[in-house]
Amino acid sequence: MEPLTPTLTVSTPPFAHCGKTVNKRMRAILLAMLPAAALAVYHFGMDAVRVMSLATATAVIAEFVSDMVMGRTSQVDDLHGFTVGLGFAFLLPASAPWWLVVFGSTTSIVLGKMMFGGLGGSPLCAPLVGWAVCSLSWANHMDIDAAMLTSELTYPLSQLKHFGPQAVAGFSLNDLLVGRQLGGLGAVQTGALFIGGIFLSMRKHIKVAVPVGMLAGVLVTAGIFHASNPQANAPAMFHLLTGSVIFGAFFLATDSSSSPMRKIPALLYGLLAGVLVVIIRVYGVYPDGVPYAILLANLTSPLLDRIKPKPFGRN
Amino acid sequence: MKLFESIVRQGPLTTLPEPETVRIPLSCHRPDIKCGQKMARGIHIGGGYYAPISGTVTEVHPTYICIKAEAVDEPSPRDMGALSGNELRTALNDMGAGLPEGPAQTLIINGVEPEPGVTAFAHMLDELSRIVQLGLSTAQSVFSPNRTVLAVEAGASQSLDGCEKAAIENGYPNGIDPLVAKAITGMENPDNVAVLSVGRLFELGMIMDTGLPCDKTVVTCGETDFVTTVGTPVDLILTTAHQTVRHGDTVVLGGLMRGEAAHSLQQGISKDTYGLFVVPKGQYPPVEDSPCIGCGECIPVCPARIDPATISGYAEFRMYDKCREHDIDACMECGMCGFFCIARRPLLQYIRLAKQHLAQADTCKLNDQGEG
Ligand code: SF4
Ligand code: SF4
Repeated sequence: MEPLTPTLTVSTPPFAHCGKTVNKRMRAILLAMLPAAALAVYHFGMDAVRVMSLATATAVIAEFVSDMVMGRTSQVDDLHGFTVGLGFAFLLPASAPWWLVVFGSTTSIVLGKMMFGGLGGSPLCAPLVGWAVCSLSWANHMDIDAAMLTSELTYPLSQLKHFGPQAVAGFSLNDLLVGRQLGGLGAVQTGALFIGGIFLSMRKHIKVAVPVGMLAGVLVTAGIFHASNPQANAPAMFHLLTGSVIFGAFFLATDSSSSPMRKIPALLYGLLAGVLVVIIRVYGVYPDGVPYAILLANLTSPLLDRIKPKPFGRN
Repeated sequence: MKLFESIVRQGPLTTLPEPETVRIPLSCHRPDIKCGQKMARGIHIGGGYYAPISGTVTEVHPTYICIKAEAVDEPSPRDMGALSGNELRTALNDMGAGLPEGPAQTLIINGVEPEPGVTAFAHMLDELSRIVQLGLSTAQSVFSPNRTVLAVEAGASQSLDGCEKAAIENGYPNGIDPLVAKAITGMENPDNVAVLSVGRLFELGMIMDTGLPCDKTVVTCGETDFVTTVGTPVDLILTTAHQTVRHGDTVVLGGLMRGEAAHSLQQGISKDTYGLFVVPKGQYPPVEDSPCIGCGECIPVCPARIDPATISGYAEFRMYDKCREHDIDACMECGMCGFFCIARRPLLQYIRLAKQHLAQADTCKLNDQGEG
């Protein structure tokens, strides 16, 4: 059937596409994290810049090297590794030593992502894997309280833990929103993160059911605790705006490979994570329950994914 | 591509002159035909394919045969007018109509355009209404339904005599057969319902009118709809429609969601081709062999409510039985999952591959049982 000019591309249907790609999604997520990163720099100065650049650079290099070791073409240009690195940095205190940043970021990528075959394979949210390993191994370096020595800001969650709700009554919601608190250097920029999260939700880059479920879970559970004993428990809004709740709800729990895919499972998963956050904060040893709450919720997503509608035509 | 908007029809229907050479696409069927053989119009080539023009066979290829126009004594057309009921069905099927089993209580005529960007059905209803109407009475005679419904997009003006009219919500994939049947009967995969597209009515009408297998189809290309002879080479239609094709472009036969990519501009269209599109190189991100990232974009858009991500994952690792466990059979092959996959996985391709393997496995099992 000559002639063969021009040469046509033979591909498979559909021949049209909505245009969203992994790369574009990662760029949107990074854009949504940008205001929080900027505020982190504003509050913590060069320390924040140091931690964020070290974490992202390490993550990208770690992914590239892993791909080389596995003999695969690297897809590091999809920016996911960069996003994981930045996500991990957001969870660290600005005072984190350089070796901790490097180790944690590498662990996030290698243990949290590449071990499972790369993007999409991981059952756990990658930055949290790095965070969990570091906070178990070097608890005092990960301790936000240690960062207090170099800052006049305070860590509301630890004050709550040690001195009860009276100690944090002085925090205005406004202060919390603009990030005038200690915690993960990016994770506490709650107002900025909320704006970023709304942007991602409106652009349909994240499963909205997850943050809706998680924020509802936190509000309701914290509300119940507060109502049952206001002397011992902080109000719901305090829980919502401290630590990494907003960051976790919009940026960590929504991680594509470790969260359920359908709407109802995603909502339940979010709710579970939200409830766990408050339970860990009230009863656990960790002031901020978010990372472990999300990791635990991650484990339930294969189970939740089994909740599904009947296929078309089956009764 | 505006996927979810209804399409505005352009210009009147244009009839393309009969081409000098036709290439009739065959699907994996090697007909008992030799080069140099004379062929009359309407002769069965094999596998349900018929010669659309009279001439000499100049090439026999596993995927197509080529006929060059020449005067050949033609057999007299069959008189279809006298037939009815089952005889009529058999006669129609002999001419390549392949009608579904009947009778049916409800006959649905699907007049919703099969794919975004195609306007062929509306043009058939408007400008070839005599043939379509003839096809309708033929179909009614075959299926003897109690109720005949014409499904059209909401806001469409087209109608057929002797048919109720039902409006289908705008937007792909609402117009594909199982979804139209559900919209009209309220049931999923209802019994006793036959769905025929307007294109099929046109085919039936042509057979009744000429006494020969249908050798014409209406193709949307560019701004125009063309009445064309089956086997017309793609580049003839593209040139007439002022479409230019460059290196690396994709030419699509059928529609952008479910169609087939042409491998050559000389390729002929088949009787089911209703659209012809040129997708410029680089217009969409390329399909990649990348793993699923679990984003879930494909799930809410699937009209079959199955999980294309999981199914394609199993197909990728040749675990076809698992695909069946996850209800691959419910898939309507609409292509929505692939349209929305942000990892650009070839989802529909994986699904079709798995389906084919499963079908093959079933045939083998049947054969084994037959022998044992
Ligand atoms: S092609 Fe994809 S979206 Fe369409 S029915 Fe099949 S699995 Fe669902
Ligand atoms: S859209 Fe693609 S990447 Fe996303 S879940 Fe479906 S198959 Fe996986």
